[in-house]
Amino acid sequence: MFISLFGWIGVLALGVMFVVAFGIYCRARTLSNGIMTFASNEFHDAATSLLKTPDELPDSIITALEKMNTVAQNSNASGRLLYAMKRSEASTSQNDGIGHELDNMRPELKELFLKAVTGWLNYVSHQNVVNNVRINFAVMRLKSQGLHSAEAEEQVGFKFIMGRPNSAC
Amino acid sequence: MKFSEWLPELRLLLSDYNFSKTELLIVIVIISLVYRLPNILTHRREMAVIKADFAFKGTKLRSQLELQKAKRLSKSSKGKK
Repeated sequence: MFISLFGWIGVLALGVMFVVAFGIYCRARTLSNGIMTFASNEFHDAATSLLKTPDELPDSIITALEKMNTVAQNSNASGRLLYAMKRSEASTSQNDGIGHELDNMRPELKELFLKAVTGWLNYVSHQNVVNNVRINFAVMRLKSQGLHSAEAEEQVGFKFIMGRPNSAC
Repeated sequence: MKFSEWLPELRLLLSDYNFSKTELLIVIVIISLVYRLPNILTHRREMAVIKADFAFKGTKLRSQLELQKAKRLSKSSKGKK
């Protein structure tokens, strides 16, 4: 009697859990859509501003912007980002080239590029709610290694953009 | 009505209709899906609009970037000559 009663409670609890999880998903999707709109504008505004002074941009920055633009329009971009992050997690030296060129750029332009990377990362990661949570965990892992919030997001972006360009696009 | 009274009542009601636990779970899932369906469709429509907007802006950005690349290429080829 007790076991069967517990079974019914379990079934009801499972149903309630599903309803609550579904509600949370819908709420998260609403928030993600808002963030995606903002991030899309942020990325394009920063990229357009960067292209106002094209002579000051190194080739690698132009290539990175082109790659970001292409990747963001791919289907399942967030899943690919997650896959690429896992593949390149062990290596940290892949972003040295772009990092070195960024250091040589004017601070205003550097800031704009980093803004574009952050916007792009937010746009791509919020395309899928579940992948967004997993990407956030990866960013948190980087933060736990001593990086600040913005730096961690940039690292993740760099890893994807410069890490595995062919498999990503 | 207390929960301890309400649950056996529900069980009796469900057994009257020959409902198993699995069927009850499926019914709950379907009801919640139907309840949230308009929300999901709105989200999908919103996302399609955002993606279309990104694609539109992305086309312009790509043309600007390609133009810039072409300029650099022509400059470097002139330099070689």
